[in-house]
Amino acid sequence: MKKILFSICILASTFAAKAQVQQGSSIFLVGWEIGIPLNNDYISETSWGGGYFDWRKFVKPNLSLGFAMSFNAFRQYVDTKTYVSDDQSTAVTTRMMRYQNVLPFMFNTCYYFKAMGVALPYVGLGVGAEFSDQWMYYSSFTSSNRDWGFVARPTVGAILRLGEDVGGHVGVGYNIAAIDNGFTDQNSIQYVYFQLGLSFYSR
Amino acid sequence: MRYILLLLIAGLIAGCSTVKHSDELLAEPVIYTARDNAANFSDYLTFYISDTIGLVDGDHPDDSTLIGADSKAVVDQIKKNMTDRGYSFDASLDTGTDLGVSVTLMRNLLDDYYYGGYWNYYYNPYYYYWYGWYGWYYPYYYPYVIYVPTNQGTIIIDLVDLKNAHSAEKFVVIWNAIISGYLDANNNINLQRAVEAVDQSFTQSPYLKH
Repeated sequence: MKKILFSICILASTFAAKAQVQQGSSIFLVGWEIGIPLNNDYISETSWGGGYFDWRKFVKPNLSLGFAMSFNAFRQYVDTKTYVSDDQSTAVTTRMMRYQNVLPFMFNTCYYFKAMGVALPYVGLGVGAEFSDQWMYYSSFTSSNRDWGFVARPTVGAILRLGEDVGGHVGVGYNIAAIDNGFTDQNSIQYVYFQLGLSFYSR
Repeated sequence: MRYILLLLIAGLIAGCSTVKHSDELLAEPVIYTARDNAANFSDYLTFYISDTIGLVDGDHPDDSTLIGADSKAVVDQIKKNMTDRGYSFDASLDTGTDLGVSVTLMRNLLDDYYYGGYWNYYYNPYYYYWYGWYGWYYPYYYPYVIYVPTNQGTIIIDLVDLKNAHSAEKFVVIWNAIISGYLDANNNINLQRAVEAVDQSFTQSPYLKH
């Protein structure tokens, strides 16, 4: 047991020195993203089918600029319900499937703290534009709505340097986009996201 | 690294979770109702409804009415709901009848239809029905736009203002229900579902009462 612990400490200290990234190098991140809706008039269920791509250039040892995109596929079955128009003149009763695909495209900047073992923790902010495609199926009817809007995504996370040129990545953040839902009074898309993926280094 | 890869694969599998496919939803009923905001439903007392249902069937273009037990069950359910809302059934349609209830079944048609304003009355067998009784040659008029998806079969219930038809010179449809998704696999009426849908069309129209 002592041998195993000793080996882990040696391994961690070996990579700890490399967790810090040099100025001028870059990192590419790719992985799985989960989205949990916060304003849920339209869809309240978690999206398990998301992903992300993130490229960062280190302009300083503790500061990067880059570009990122992600996607999430929210979906939810809504059982029989009656929807009444604002003026009460029309009503429709139906079951439906609701869908919403979101794709934020962002420029991001991240600040990196001192490496902790193999982990390089950071805080960051991405700003850009988000595309939202949402639609509902009920019987043979389809209602759809597409829109673009400004998006901001503050985030915290850590890049895990597990090898010379490759490692892991974990992150959590908050997505807010100024996009009208079109079907409800909801005028923004807000969700918390969790990221788990791989990191690739280049010098 | 191995654990991260395993977690990523688990994530991909989780992302493929099953959802209710739209094909399954095709069989689900949709009940849509609309009203004329200018109409005061308590101004009307008597109504007439035929025992037969008007039929627009792409496979049987020469048939214009549907008769039989299914037709009667749907009509009886509409009659019951109208009576429960305080209206009186007038078995002898005459110039003193306030409301005409027309029921049309549309199926086996290739195209969906949008209506608004003056309806293309050729699709409504009841246009001639009211005309036959009243001797008026007025068109149907919907004060709102309605959408009829005919590929899944649709029952249309129109509540026609007969009381003011002569002065308005048109048959204003003051209330309309469009019921889709009531056909079974053989394109026949799923009666239980149709009767429930009729009830629901009244339930979601609380203003419809004498």
